[in-house]
Amino acid sequence: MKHHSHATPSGAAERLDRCQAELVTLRRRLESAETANHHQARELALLDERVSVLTRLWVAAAALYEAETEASALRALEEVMINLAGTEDFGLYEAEGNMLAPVHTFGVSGGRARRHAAAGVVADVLATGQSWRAASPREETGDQPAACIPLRLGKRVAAVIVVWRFLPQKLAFEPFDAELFALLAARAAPALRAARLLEAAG
Amino acid sequence: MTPPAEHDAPPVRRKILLVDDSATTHMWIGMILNKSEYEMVSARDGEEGVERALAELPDLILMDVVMPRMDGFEACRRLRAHRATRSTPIVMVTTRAEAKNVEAGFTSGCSDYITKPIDGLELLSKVRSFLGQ
Repeated sequence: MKHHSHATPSGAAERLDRCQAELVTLRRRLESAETANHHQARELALLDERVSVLTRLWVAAAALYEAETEASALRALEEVMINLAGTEDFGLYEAEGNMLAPVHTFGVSGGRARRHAAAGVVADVLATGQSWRAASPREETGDQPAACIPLRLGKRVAAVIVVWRFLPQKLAFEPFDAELFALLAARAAPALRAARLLEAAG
Repeated sequence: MTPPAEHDAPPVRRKILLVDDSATTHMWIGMILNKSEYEMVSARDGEEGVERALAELPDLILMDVVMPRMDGFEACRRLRAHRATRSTPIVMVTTRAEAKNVEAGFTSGCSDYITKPIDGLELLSKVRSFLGQ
């Protein structure tokens, strides 16, 4: 080509060197951009997950606090446990010392649906006020529950939610579950009490 | 005046009917399916769901299974019997994922199913897929 015809061999070598140096620079910039892109994609995924968790927590809190009667508060709690926590069988029991009095149960029968003494994991949760859950929703826990949440009213544990079984399609716990349990531990008992008071006040 | 360019026109909002007796599910799904992107219509049981579907002719129906008055399977069968809703995509939203329940859903005419607790991304993905988005 005509415009290359005047180039000396050393000139061509210099141009080649410059091009190679530029190529190295461009490759570094590309790598840097790709790294930044991956980092932002990870950040975005984490943000999406956080939004999803917060949205579900908001739904749970709104459902509990919208109730104006005890029945509707219990219905809201049942919906939260099934639709957001993925439970199959569970019971809400008021704590009377070491005894558990069922307030509302779903999918539960026999002794678990009657007043009974707290034992094992549930007794520990009553004593410590700390939530407990099995390593996995699918873990075989025998007579023990799959999870237990203490419902606090002030400083005392007023009640517990005992999850006897999770839905079969719930294969693993996710970070949301721990946050939902924490929300229920702090807010479910006050919400229930508020609903009872509202109902009593007419 | 020159008419607005085609790309300036607001996007068409597809209509989704959610049939579920759970207020929590209505809240959660309503938040997943951004209301600026979809027009949400709701019904609280199967019977109301059939009525709303025939009146509103939604682009997609999300149908719970266990509901008062009429369950999701029966509602699905009735919708398939109407010419207007014969081919409307119906996604069952169920707590029961066992094979017999899934089969009952497909036998009643549902297009797909999703299990509770609802995974937001899975729901969005199915909705967009059925709506060709």
